[in-house]
Amino acid sequence: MASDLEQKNKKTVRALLLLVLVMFLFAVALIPLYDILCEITGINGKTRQESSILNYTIDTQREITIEFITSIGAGTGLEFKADKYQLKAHPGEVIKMTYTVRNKTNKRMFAKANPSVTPGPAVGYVKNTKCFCFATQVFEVGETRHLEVQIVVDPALPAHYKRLTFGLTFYDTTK
Amino acid sequence: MSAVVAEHEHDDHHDHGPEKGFLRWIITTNHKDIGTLYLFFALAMFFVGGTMALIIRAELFEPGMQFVSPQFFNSMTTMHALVMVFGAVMPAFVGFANWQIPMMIGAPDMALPRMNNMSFWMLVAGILLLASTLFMEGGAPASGWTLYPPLVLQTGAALPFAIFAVHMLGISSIMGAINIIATIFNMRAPKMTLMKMPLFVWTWLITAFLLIAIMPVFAGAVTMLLTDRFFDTSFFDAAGGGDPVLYQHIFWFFGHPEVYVMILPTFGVASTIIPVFARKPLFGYSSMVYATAAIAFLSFIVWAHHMFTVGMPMAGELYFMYATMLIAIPTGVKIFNWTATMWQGSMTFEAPMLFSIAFVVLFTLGGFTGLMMALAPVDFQYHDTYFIVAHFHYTLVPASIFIIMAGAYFWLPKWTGNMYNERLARFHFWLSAISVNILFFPQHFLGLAGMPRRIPDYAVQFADWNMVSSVGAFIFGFSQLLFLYIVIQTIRGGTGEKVTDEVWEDAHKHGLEWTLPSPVPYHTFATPPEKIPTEHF
Amino acid sequence: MKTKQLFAGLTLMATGLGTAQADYTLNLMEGVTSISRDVYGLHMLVLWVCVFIGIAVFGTMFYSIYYHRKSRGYKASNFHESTKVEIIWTIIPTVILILLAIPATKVMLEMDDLKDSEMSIKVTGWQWKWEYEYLDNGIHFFSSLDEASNKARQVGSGIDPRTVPNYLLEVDKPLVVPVNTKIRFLFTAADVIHSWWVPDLGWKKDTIPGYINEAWTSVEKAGTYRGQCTELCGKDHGFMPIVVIAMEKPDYEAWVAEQKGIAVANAAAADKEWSQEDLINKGESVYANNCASCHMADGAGLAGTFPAVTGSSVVTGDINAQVELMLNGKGMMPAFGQMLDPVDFAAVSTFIRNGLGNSVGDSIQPAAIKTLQAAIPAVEYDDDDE
Repeated sequence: MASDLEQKNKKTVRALLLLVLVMFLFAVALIPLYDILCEITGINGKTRQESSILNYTIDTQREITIEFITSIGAGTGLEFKADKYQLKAHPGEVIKMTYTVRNKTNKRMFAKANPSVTPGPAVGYVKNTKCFCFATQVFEVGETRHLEVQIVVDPALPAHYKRLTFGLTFYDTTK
Repeated sequence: MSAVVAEHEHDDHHDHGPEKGFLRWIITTNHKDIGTLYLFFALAMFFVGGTMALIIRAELFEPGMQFVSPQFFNSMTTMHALVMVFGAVMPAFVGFANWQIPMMIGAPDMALPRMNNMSFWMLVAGILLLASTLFMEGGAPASGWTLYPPLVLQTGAALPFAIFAVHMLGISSIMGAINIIATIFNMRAPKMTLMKMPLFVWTWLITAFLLIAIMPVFAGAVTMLLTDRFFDTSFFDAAGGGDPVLYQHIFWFFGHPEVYVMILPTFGVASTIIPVFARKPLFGYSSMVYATAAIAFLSFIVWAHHMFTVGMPMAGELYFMYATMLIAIPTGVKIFNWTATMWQGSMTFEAPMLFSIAFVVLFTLGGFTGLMMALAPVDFQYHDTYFIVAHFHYTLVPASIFIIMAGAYFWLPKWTGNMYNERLARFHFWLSAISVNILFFPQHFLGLAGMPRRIPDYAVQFADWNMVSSVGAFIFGFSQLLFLYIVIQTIRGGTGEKVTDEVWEDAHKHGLEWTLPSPVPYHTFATPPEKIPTEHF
Repeated sequence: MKTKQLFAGLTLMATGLGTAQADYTLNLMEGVTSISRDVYGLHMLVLWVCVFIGIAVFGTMFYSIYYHRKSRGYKASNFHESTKVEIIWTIIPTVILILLAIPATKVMLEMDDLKDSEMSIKVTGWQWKWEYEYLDNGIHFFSSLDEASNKARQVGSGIDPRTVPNYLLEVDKPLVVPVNTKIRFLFTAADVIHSWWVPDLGWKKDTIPGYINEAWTSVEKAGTYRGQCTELCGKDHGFMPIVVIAMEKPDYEAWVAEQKGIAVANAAAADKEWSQEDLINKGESVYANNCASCHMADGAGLAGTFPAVTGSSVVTGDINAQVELMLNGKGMMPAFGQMLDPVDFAAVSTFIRNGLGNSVGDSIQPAAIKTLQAAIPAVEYDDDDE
């Protein structure tokens, strides 16, 4: 009788410990799951480098405004501006923007920019074909550089989007 | 407890009685001893967390910074929350569970007595470790109990210790939960079918499953904080391509069920007490069980209502708004059921009943504000203001804490064989019930008028209600010394009046524990009971 | 002791209710936008629904408590189940919830409608100040707690907050917007999460590092509207207010012109020679607004967290090393090259060397700061990231 109970308890404990493990793994799995969810829904505005060459037909009937926003993280001694705040373009067209970045500090700086697109649900339609944001950049003391970004907006972008915001934030990653 | 000792010092069956001396409390595996340890620890932490609350309210008594630095103020709000949640409320309910679940289901002890002992001492170690961060360089964590990155990563030397403390508290909770589930599943008296279990047992069964589901998630989240800070990962670090909002999603996936961990056992105790003093069976037993399960289920799919302002896509905002509103339905069912239980009862108003009625009323107020903030567009105004502070304190202080006190008054006579001083207890009730409203009700006004939460100083138009709230806080805080006095007095003999086995009139109809002698012997139900009270069917 | 407190509390309640009603509101404010009024309406609707349910439930309960008590000799019934009743009190709340969800959804969709905005302002949260960038005309400035509040709010300042106008709700440079203009806000943060809230506009929005959040407003009435940061962002979370001044359109145009003039004047001021005394005088307020929140008003710092300025080896050492540290930042210290113009920078650099208990005696000119930033020859590189 007693050993019977012990067996039952052991079984319960084993099952529950398994549940604990599953939930812990679930928490870890939330990271990739969230990334997938973000890719679908655009929650955090992250865009990715497109590997393939995109061949859209340019929709000349439609014009959208693309806004280029720049930010820097706290303690990042860079001056960082898009050469133009915004421009109008047709969906499907390759949109180029040059950014001017200056290292205002007197140290050599490693820095990386992260993109963010808003509104979120439109993120999937903004294709980043060229961006300095996917690699760490090195800025010599006082160096000024002009860096280029190319994006293409998928013509399938739902009609009610008239304005897209492409944001870049530079962070000093010097160790 | 000394009464329990006294009882057994006269007992010649040494092998059945408790260990002598101090060592008894260290090595005990007896569910009643461990329940006692949990309850005393919770009471101690209630005063520690309460002292922190009074430091907060003292600083907020008047505009201007009088006593503490802003950084220390933030440490106080953070530690107050962590100590109250993990040190006071949860352990108090685990204490009740330890004492009551075996007696309520006719079991001789918890299923895993050694693990029971371990989970208690792990809790003590975890809380001590957490408290030690107060003395570390840079101070205790000051980023709120939610530990949001990136702010939490600015914590000084305390960060790894705080996170390790959270791990220990989590392991302790998980062990406790496993023990409770194993006890309920495997050790019920033969006739105690699941749908005949007292509601307290039911709510704890569901709570234990919640704990097992969420504690590992929380552990995962804080571990990622740790690696972000020390091992160059960037789960939540925007500079490294991570996402600070992801932490909030994981945290609230834990955090929302966590608040139900504190409220479901509260429902259980209330559902146990109200029928006894209404001299009627609980109304809608099975709907109570289903409502509890429904609330537990919903708690997993509403988390982002804590994050309406982070800028989710519209579909997300709407989904979380609708899902959150749904919680009002099972919660409403519970409140209606308690009201129907009182309806046409033959009520008396001893301290446990007074606290329970206050719980139903004031928890409902907290529920109303909860419904208000479920509406996402209005929550854009309420979010992170004192309106929220008022809301969750209404659902925790005059709800969970009141019910813990109700439970203490309800069961102490059974456990010790001594009656508490009813007149003092009622005085304690009225002091607490009035002051808790002076304390928290004005915070609704402050929040609506625009006062953000977690600020150490405020604009002068908020001065009057803050002063009222602080006065209420001090009355409430010092009133609890009366509770401490009553509890100690009861343990040491109470009014001198010995209580009957059922303690409360006809209580034996409501639960197995009341069929045992008072005070309850050290070992009970060595053989399972033949009959069980079946009144609610 | 306890009775005294109780008495004090009750007296306070009585007098508080009687006298101070004009000073504060008990309810949500209606605000000055169509959205804020919709939100207010929704708030009142759900509040009345709650009041109504509350009266019904508590009324029943208290009736029962009064009549169904043992001391009145009431005999308990034994009913304990009724599926019919359970169904009724499941369905009624469901219907009420649906009726609430409909207007809430409407307001939600309206808030999300960012189309046809007429201007855009980027708001960046910093520990512990706000950065505003008018994207359409390039006006750009930081906004932080005003000096009077900042002095009064120091622990043991001895200043009664009641004597400070708009205590903790005043900034050195408010955000100015035109009325009846659909303004789109873009929110982001540089360090930790903040939240931008002006109750009169009807919403708040988190500013999150790496994120861009959007919201819009159209203020209908000229006036000054105040708010605060509402997401815990560190020790000075309570000290980064928001002030929005809504102006009639011509006034706003004049303000824009003035701002552009100021930018030109600042550039000129940077080139002129400043006396040490002027620099120290100016530097004192720059210090109070930008440095005192960490290094403390008296320069003593915060043991273990923020180093002291008074007696610091950096401040009493080589002036160029000090300026370099301030320009580039270090650890939690932000790079102030971003935030201060050359005049303010030179002023505060000079002030900390000759105030706060330090007396080094030297000073640095705004022009030198300008040179320090620009002297290093700018090397032009092509984009080599092909």
